[in-house]
Amino acid sequence: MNTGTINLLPKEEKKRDIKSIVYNIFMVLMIILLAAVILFSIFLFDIDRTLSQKLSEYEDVNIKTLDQANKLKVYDDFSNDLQEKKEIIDVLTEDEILWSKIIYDIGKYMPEGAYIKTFTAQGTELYKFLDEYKKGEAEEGKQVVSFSITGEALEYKEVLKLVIELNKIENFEQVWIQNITNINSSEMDKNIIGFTIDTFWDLDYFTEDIKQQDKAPEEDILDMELEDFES
Amino acid sequence: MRNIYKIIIIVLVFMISVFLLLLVIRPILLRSGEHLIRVAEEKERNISLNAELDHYLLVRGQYYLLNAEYQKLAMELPDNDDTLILTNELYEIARYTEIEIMMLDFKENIIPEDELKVLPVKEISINMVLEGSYYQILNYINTIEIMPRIMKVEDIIMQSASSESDDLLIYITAKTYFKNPYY
Repeated sequence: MNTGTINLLPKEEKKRDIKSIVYNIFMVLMIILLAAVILFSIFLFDIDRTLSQKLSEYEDVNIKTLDQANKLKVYDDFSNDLQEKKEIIDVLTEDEILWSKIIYDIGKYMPEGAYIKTFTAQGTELYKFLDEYKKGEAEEGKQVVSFSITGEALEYKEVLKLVIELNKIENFEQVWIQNITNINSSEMDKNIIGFTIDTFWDLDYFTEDIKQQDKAPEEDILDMELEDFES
Repeated sequence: MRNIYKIIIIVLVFMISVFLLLLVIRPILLRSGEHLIRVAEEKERNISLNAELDHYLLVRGQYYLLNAEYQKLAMELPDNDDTLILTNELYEIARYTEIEIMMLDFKENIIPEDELKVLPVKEISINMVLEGSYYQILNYINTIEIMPRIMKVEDIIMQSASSESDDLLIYITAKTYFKNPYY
């Protein structure tokens, strides 16, 4: 006959330690955090190293490029010097009067019965006027003498012919007979005509391409208003 | 494991993490940020330097052309105010046009400081008295007007030299210029 044993002791109840579980979780989390921080540090180190490398590469290249650029800058300075010289020459040679052409034209147009005793050309006056015009200081409606001729002719018609011919020369606004006098020539044993002719520059021809300096904007507005009022 | 050990481990790990964050990661982050900015700056500088270099190389490529042009301009507006060459040129032209130079007078004009800043030149006035026939004088004036050096003929007075000859006496006022090295 089988005899069995019966456990009459009460069952052991397993107590769950919640605190310990929480600590365990925290511990795991902290270890994960530490691992993440270490990994992040390594990653950052790597990035920083790459950046440093790149920076030093750029610095090296830039030093070399700068050195090369400094060596070649002399060509640029030369080019600038050339440009400056060109600009100065342009300013100095603008509106240059070619007197040889004017003297040639006078000789070409001179009537047979007339001749010149003195020829006085005044380029200084024109250059002075143009300087004043550029500064906005020129007098409005001013007439500037180009050249004066004094001469003698057999007849007054020769003088008129000369005036008509001189009017054909470019850049002149007016050819003005200053005086005509009757002279008794002992050499020719007859009366001849003495004359003085003045010529004046066409100033619009010289000033149309010139930009006036130092003219205040208010003055421009006033000019425009005046033009509107006149029209 | 007893809980007290667990707490110690948690605190230690936390402190190590904070220590790493403050003493390692933060400085690296700051340094990296600085490096990043400097790399961007150097990159920008590199682009501008390369553009500058390209421009200089282009100018260098044109050097012979520019030099030829400069030589031509240097004849128009010489760098040194030497009247020796100018005098020689005027006499050479007179010899070529068979005209007689009676007088040559050079005078340096004083240019105001403000004008010099705009136009850095030295201005020389030349007064000439010449004698010759109409065509010789015409030829002389034409030659000095078209000579390589800038020569602005301003005033002319022409009259008979004497009642016996056809020659004319001519007074010319002209201006020439030199580059002012001080401006």
